[in-house]
Amino acid sequence: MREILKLSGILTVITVCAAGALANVYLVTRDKIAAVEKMREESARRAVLTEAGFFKMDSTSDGFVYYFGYADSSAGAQPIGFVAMALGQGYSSTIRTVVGVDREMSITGIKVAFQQETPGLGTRVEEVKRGQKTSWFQDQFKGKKIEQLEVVRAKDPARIEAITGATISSKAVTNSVREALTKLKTVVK
Amino acid sequence: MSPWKVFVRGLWEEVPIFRLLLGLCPTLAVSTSVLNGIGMGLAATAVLIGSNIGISLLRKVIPNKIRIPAFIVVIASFVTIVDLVMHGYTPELHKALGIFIPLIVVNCIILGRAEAFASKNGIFRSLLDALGMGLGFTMVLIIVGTVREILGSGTWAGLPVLPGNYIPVLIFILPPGGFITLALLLGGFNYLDTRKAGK
Repeated sequence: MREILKLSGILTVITVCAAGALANVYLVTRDKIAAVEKMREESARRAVLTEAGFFKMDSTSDGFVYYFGYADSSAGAQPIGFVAMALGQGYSSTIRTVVGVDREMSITGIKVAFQQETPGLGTRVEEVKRGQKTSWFQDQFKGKKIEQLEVVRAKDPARIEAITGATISSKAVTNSVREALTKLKTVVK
Repeated sequence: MSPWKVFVRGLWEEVPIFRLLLGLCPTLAVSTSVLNGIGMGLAATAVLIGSNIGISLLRKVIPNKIRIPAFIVVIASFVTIVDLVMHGYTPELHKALGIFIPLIVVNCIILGRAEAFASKNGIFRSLLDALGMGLGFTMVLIIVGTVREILGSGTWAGLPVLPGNYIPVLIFILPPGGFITLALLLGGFNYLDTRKAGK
């Protein structure tokens, strides 16, 4: 009995120390990490809606976040496009994708902002082929309309070609983009 | 055992995957390409160095009966701290290696070395052991990754190495191909070893 108490005591001390160290590191890095993520999303917004120089955030009561994109920050201007955040459950993570559309709801670009899929398979949603600068999977979305967002297992310029061995991740991105745009259509129109 | 022996043991005699058969799960998952293998290998080496040193420092404080839970707490905390610090201060590196970190926590090589070596040896020797085992692990990942990437994608580290009309055998970058490649390499390794022992 005494030994059990002693061992539990020591284990408690170790876990409390570990928890304390973790809490401290978390507090120190929390703001840094938030700033890094914010910058990443900011640059992702610029990448998917290149013509916009100024963004205004808005959200719905159920947590759907979207942005109006303007050519510049002058007052009274009409938005030239929109950016929406799409969330999709992939194979091993919730994939966050930033989607840009013009006023006609045709996609100007998408960028996967966060994913933790299987290395070598699902992570290929961000794969950039040698000699190219952008991701071939994400480039397929450019110029597409909501009704074209369907994953197929073949080359089809009118739809989205799945990544070999990562159909779940491909579908997660495509379906979440479709859902986000469907929602966006109802809130900005 | 001399310090040099402690180091090179991880590279051949006790090379983690082929000999100890530890760390198979991350091996199968990330060996689809050479670059993934290098990333995973180096990230695991860094964690192994940290955890081996930590366990070696604490080895006299931790009672024998509760060593396993204590090791797991120390290793998991260390990995999480590395993850948070990398995320905040080296975002580019984190973007490249971040996907491997959750896989490292469950890599049994880390716990294996803590139990088999660091808990019984001093800091310097534990550091050498971590370096040897980590590099041995990286080496095997590169070998498995080379086979799978060349056969499954027709490239090596992203560079095309096979003629353009080669049709990649996709199964090699899928999970079954991982098992097949690993099994054949393991068989080959054992064959070499038995022959060597027979002489």
